[in-house]
Amino acid sequence: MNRRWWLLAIGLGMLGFIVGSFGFPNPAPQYIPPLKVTGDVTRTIKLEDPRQMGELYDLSYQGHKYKAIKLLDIIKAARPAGNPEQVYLLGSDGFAVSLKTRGLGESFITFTAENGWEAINLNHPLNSNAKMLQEIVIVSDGSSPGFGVSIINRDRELLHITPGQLYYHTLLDYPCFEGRATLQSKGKSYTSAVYTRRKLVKLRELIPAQAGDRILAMGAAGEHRYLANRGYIELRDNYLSYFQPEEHSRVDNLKGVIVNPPTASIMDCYYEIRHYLESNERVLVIVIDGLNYRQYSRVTQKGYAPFLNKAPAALMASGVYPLEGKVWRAALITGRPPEENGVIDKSDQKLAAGTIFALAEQLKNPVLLLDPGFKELNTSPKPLPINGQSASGKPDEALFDLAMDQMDQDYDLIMLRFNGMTVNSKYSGQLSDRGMTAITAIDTKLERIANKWPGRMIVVGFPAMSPAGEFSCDSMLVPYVHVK
Amino acid sequence: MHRRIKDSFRLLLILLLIFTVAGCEKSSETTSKLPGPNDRQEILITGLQDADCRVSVGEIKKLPSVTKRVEASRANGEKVSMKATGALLESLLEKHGKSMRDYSRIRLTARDGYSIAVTADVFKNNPIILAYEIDGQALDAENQPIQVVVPGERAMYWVRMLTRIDLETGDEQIQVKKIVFLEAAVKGLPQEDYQYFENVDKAIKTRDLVNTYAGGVKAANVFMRARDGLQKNESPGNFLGAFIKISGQDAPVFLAPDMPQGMHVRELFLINYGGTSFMAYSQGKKLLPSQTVRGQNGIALSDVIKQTGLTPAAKYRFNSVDGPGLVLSVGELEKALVCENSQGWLTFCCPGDAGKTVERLLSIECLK
Repeated sequence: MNRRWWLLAIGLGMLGFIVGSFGFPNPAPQYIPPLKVTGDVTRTIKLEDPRQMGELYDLSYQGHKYKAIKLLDIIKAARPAGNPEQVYLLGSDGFAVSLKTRGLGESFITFTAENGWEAINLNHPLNSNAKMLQEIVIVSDGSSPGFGVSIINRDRELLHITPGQLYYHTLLDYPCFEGRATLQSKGKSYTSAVYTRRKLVKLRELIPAQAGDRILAMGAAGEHRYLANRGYIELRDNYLSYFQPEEHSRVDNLKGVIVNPPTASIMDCYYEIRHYLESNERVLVIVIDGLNYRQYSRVTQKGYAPFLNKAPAALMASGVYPLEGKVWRAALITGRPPEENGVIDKSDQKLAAGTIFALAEQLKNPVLLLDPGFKELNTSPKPLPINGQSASGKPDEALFDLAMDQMDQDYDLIMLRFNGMTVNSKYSGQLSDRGMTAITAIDTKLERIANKWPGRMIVVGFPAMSPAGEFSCDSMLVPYVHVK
Repeated sequence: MHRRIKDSFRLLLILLLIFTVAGCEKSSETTSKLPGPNDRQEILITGLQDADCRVSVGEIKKLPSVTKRVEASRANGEKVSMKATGALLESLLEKHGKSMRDYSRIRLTARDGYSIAVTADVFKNNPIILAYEIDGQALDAENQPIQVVVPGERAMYWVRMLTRIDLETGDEQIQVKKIVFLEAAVKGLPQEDYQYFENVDKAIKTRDLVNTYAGGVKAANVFMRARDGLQKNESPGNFLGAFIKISGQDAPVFLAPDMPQGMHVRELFLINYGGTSFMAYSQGKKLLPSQTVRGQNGIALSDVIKQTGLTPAAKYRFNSVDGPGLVLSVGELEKALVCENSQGWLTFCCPGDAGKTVERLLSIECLK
């Protein structure tokens, strides 16, 4: 029995070997140029095999038979950011076809030895069937928050643009010198200069001409650069960067630009506290969560915050990106942007820059922290625990009571935060009556604190932080008040 | 009996697992900064000291280490992604009293003859990591002794098998040819009131300073150093639109009303603009060792030259605010001092030699 099985196995093996070697012709190795799917997608795809997407559809078109991928399946696989509106099919010879995403049900992509990657659009005019395709660019309606780049000035949003939408503009094909390499071989030196071709649009061409000379560019990794408005927006697959060829400077994955940014920044707080402590003055910093510059203007104009209205006018201050409470707090207490202080997202706890608390300790100034948000950062001191809410049950009351109580102690620096505005406007909107009532309650507290506190007092607004992280006037511009 | 064999086998498996895990832990410890077999391999460095020198992998491991997750593109479009651990080239240079900013180009050469020149505009924006560990593992023979990683730059800069570093100060490097003392310079410039917190102090425009004393040269970059060690590169655009507050608290301060305070530099010690170095004597006095020669107290000229990076020359000219002054050869400057008199003017002197004195000192220039 065993012997019979052995013989059968050997026989089958031999058969396999013969069939494998001679039975089927070995297809000639074939190079398939990659077809990139980019633009407003969260996943860039490089198609290097028609079967890569799974199921292939059998097509008959103009007397030929094809095995093809549905264009809609490709779009879906790339996970569009926002609602896809338009698709560009770009050929290697510069030929480009633009199609609305509605009506792509009968659009296919196939690969043939003659035409490379090729579009077959059964419902569209014949000239839409682009050949030798190199790239498929998906253009969305820009509705995905935090995707793309927002350009704002001190008054309004100037432009929101996504990588796909950049194709609506004239793109420069810019050769950028990267470097020169040398190889020494047999006493001879062989040199090659390397360039990369970059797709660029001058930033000045995207925004109104009077937009100004200075910009503040912020990137996803916490970059925060004040630059002359001489650079370009660079298209890099599914994200945009800021690039200044002359200085070889770059903000990768650019998220936002403030044209003619305000002079003040929330990071100034560090330097002002330092100045006052060094001048032997006591400082109290109050952060109001959920209060941006527009809201401040409205509440003071409409009489919702009579105390703030009487105080010196707020400076408009720029914030930092990403839009995370922890990231803003880290910038506030270090005076350094996220890329330098090391706190760029929720998971970061360790600060890579010195804090104002450490400096106060060095100057032997006692510090009191009344902001539970600092628990998430490795700071010393840790925030004082706030035991529940006061009898009134209203937010901020417990914190206010504690602050009033502790103010008599010999603290030189106190930092506290009121978040009643965020809590109250969470469901009813930031400019709602409930939100306005909340600021009135905070305003009353500010007045009582100011009457009691003998030193300097600074009030800084923090915007309502959203995980989506939309870069806008509302999220990036906040009030900064030197109350006294 | 059969059951006992089974139990023994299970026990053996568990022990094997424990040893494997323990072995893995140990292997992760042995990488990183612990001594390794290639610690004696050396890299030749030229341009760091007068003579070429060699640095071993072991010495590089003793420098502060950094770990960075990095990604780069290869020529074929392929992305390389890795976690690199090593020391910064800047740390190595600092150990020898140098900085990457002292060089215009750094050429990295590999054992197989490949070399690439990293230009200042690349290393100004990115650190150069001398990696001895990739993805938690010590380098293999194909990458030893060191792999260079330049985060944010293309893979062509990531030289494997690094055997040589040439630190070059070619023609592209702007050499400091002149030192201008800020205290004397500002006396001849228009001054204006500047609100600094609650005080009103005096300030000068940086543009006036540069136009008057740096010959209106267009610099590609402005380097500033504060007394507390803060170093900053500023774009000429930002620099020329700003002020230097020359009186009051924290002076001298680089600042501007439309500039966030994070960009200000207080207690400014040096500004290198093109071939001119502006030095604040008031900060130098606090930063540099005080020298007393024959009863005269001040800062040693050699320290001034070293700090500003003034190009070595056979002769130097010492200018007063009243006009061109004294020309002295390098051999005559051994014990030279820069001092401050009771009126706040600076004086150049060679104690014991009254003929070699320049009152109301403004600048020092290199002569060929």
